[in-house]
Amino acid sequence: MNEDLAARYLAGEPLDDAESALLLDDRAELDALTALLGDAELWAEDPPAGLEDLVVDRVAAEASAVRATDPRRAVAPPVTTGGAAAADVIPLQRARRRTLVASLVSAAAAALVAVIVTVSLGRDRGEPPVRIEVALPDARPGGVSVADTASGLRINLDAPDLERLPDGQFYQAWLRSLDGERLVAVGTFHSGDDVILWAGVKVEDFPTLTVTIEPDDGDAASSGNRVLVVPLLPPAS
Amino acid sequence: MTGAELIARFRAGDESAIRDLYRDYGRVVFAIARRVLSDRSLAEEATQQTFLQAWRSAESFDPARDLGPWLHTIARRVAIDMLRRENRRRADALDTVSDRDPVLRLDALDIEDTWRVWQVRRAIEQLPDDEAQIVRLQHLDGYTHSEIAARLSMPLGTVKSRSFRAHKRLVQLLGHVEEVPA
Repeated sequence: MNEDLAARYLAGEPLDDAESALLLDDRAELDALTALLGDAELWAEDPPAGLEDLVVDRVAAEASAVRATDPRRAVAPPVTTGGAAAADVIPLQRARRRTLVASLVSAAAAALVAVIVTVSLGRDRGEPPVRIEVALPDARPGGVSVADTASGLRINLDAPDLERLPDGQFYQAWLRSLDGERLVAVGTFHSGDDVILWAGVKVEDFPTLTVTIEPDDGDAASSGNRVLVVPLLPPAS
Repeated sequence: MTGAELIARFRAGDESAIRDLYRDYGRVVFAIARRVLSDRSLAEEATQQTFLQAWRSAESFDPARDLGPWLHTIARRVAIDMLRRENRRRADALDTVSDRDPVLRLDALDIEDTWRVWQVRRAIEQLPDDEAQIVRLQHLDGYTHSEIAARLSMPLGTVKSRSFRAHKRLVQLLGHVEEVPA
């Protein structure tokens, strides 16, 4: 392809007959490119600034958790930007989350929850075996199931009464640690129908699933606006 | 840093590598998600899932290969999976499932489209901002060179030369990468 002629053609400059003849074989491709350059979706605005931190936090959190449990993923030592060892950090933890402490644990424990822990040998269609099945509290429709996979915990949340949120807001699911001090983000979604979440931590260490409503403000920390709290394990006797 | 070094650090969970990879590819991943899903909020979720899935798959990635086609494939699959779930949810709600649902044929129909969007978007990102702006004003907004010159308070000759330079760069960048990734 004659690059100068192609550039002039794309730029909308007139070409004489001889020049046009030289581009004959490339016209279809250049016309397709012209059409694509006029496609609004190609020029769609950039992702929101906060998305970068969400991506980094989610990947780093999973990497950290998997490294702790799977030595094969610890071949190369991580280089953390903050100077601390990644395995010691749950990146999404923020200072304001420290306020989500014991009162929530007791409130969750007091909720009327039907907890059924089952050991299943597997489902159809080759899905990983479900280890935990829990009904939602307060007789809300739906439930949560948890399966162990090689990639981590596969959490299936079905909460149909979590209706689609307006633009600018989304649901975010978290696993909360036993002591209530640490949260691990496990996914965001827009409505509660049959949501698949993934976690790289042990449910025994992070036994409570919570769902919050988050504003699209780029702040990766929890808003604290909880709409669902589900203990995944029965209370310790 | 080479692609192999970046992917090695990414695979190890190095936060700065995750950030570098996102800064290099995040916008184009988001563009593909937007293209497939036509929904900004879903595209944001798909972008997160793409990088998460990339990390989960990074062990099997051959560092000698180009990162772009690999990430494009993941981004496209994640977005299509989300689209299928969304459509299934809507179809279930309406109790109307069509065997001819275009979503069912999406893999065959759109892989060239999404790959081309990926390539062109990446090429545009490599243009200087002033040249990208002129390309956008010309093709998206439909302005002539004269109108662009007036709009940007710039001599017509400058607009023409920048437009030529930008389009030549696009031709050079896009002229040798036409294969759809496997």
